[in-house]
Amino acid sequence: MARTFERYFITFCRFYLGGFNLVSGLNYFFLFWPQPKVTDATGNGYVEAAVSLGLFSFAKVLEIIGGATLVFNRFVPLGLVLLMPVTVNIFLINAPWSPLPHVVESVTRNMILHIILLAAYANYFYPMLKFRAAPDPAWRDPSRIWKSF
Amino acid sequence: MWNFSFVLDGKTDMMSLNPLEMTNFEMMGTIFAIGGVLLTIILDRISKQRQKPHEFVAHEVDERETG
Repeated sequence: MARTFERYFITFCRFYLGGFNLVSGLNYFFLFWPQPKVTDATGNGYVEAAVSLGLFSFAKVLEIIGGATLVFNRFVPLGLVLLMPVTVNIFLINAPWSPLPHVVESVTRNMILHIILLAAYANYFYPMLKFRAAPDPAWRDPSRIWKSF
Repeated sequence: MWNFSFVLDGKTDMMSLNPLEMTNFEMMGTIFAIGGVLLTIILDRISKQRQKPHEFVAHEVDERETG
């Protein structure tokens, strides 16, 4: 029973984070709704700088790709890694500075859900905890890349 | 100052901490999440119905030969 609940809870988190990011990314390019603005002046300056540098579009593409991986349940660990910089940046821009409690709650919720999902798929990340790692370059045997699929 | 109010008026009170007071993206995330969980439950039930009952065979068999 606990395992069933756990499985559905992880599914809930995956679809929530995936749907949120996918729609947020698509909204930037198709503008279903007005693009939300950061209310804090410093945070807004950061976003404007990111837009000028083209980083914002890059982040939105990452949101679309990462969101799609989570919603369609394909390459989920890769999607979580791709989305992590976006989630962390949004959290750091808003959580300490935003004067709007709802925004703080929302970005904190997304951060927590992301950490829960990383923990839920931890078996794919354990190899990264290797204390002393030896290189095994991809170019020595490129077939390993498509064999991994 | 934060509050916990919720009004179904199509707007988002950004001072509210009520989880039902959602932005468009939160609403889409929630719709995806509830829809995804329901879809998973339905697919689980269908796959359980399709699962054939286990039949005990007293002697060793080659599973590739059984039809």
